[in-house]
Amino acid sequence: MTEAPQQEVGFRHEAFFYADHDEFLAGTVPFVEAGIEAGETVLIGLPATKRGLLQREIDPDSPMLHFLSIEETGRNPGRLISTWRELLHGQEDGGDVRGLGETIWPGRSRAEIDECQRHERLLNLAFGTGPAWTLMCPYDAGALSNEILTTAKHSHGEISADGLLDGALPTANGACFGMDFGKADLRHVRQLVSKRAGTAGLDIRRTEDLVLAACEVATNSIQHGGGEGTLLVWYEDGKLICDVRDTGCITDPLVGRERPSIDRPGGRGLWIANQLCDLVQIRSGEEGTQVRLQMGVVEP
Amino acid sequence: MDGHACWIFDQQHEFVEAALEYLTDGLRAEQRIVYVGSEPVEEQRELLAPLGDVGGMIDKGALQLFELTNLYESGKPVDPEVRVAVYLAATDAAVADGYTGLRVAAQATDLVAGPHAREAHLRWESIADRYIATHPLSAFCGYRRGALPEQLLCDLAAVHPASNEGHPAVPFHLFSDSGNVVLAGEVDTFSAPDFDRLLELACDGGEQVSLDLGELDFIDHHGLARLAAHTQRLATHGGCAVHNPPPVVDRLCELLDLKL
Repeated sequence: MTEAPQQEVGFRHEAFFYADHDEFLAGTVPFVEAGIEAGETVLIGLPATKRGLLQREIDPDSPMLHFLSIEETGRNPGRLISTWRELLHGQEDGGDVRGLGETIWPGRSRAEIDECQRHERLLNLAFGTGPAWTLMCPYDAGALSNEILTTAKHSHGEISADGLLDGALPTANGACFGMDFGKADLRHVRQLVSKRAGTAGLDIRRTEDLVLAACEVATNSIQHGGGEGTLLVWYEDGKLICDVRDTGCITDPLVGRERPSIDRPGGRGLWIANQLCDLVQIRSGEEGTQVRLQMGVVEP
Repeated sequence: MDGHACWIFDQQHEFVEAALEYLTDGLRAEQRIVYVGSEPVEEQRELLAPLGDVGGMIDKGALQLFELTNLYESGKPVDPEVRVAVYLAATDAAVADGYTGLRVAAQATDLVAGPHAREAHLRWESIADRYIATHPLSAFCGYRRGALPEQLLCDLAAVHPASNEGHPAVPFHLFSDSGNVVLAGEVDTFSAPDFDRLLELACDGGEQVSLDLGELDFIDHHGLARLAAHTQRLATHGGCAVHNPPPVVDRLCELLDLKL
């Protein structure tokens, strides 16, 4: 069963629902083989088990295939648009491209699923006006909830990006450590995050990454979000979470998702946060902006 | 404190007390000690009385006293190279006279009182630092807070390897050590412009620059972009080698496609 957008656009974004392994292969193998036969580059981002299934059915050494580690890169779906774009640009011959991307696999958290769903809609916005390519997104209908499947049916053809930064994030479910910050307090922001990360048991690398991400986001608050902000840090369910709030308003729903260009200043802070953190959630409106960074105590 | 230290103070007696401690360490280490102050030499003798037999030390050559206005023409830019030559000659003389080196406590506030003198003086501190790192010379530079703008005090503290804590709070230090320019501490978006300016001052010699980042605790992407611009510029001049980058630097360089 395939849900495809009706309108003629260069980018075709299709949800593909499968109930079991047989259906998975029945949908993906012909999709990949058709690409290879047509001389297209095929970008494959599947969870390891699904990738293993597919590789047994196709020639995994075909030079037309490019694999991407979706469980690592796509752990934070905020990284995927720039990843796909770089893979597309990497096709020097300018030949046709198709992709297979399964971002919502069973076991993802509510927050991750929410971000994946926003990501699916943002794909249409990011690639809708660009060169033609097809992205097929497999959904494990046997394991995922009806809500996820229903949302996926709608999100793939949807071009409107309205409301993609709307909504409130759930309140903290744990003891919070917080501070208000301004220009002179970034050092204390870093110290607070570093201390909580140490207490939670993050290793040095994950601590440094989270400290850098939090500092970049807090810097945005000072520079673009009214000159000051509030930081809350707490531990929840195996993760350390940093919430940065300010009074600014973000209007570009793709903020932080496209690699910043060298010649254009700005826009780097959230992109860096996306590359470093396990999950980044951005909500913004007239009442202000909230950026939530998640870092697992151990690498998932 | 050894090497090259910056001491920001409010009251004259605070500087004198710190200088006495610093010079006492010099006597113990058998260095020739030098006091440079804004007071007349006669007054300096009284201030330094806690050192012991000041008259005897002066006669022996173990202690030298100078009044700042006699040493330099106050408020005028002084060619840093000329000053360095004076200090190096004095260091050589101390060693020739059997001392282990030269140790100077200088209350230098008046040297930077004029706005034109500031940049030249910062350059001087930066150049002096390079020589102090490689010669038997140490210096303790005092600056009086009320007399100088806060920004200048921050700059002065930043170009010394060490400064008294918290006064002012300096996020980073940029100094010389064993032929390297060392960047220590933290650079973020709001300290990046100062960092940019002082790095230019520290690396203006047109020679090969060796930049040691081993003591850098944090840098954000704004700071790193400025650092990369300098290393790229230096690479086309005398050359630039970067040593011991912390992991955060490597990570940001990779993410932003920057080269140091």
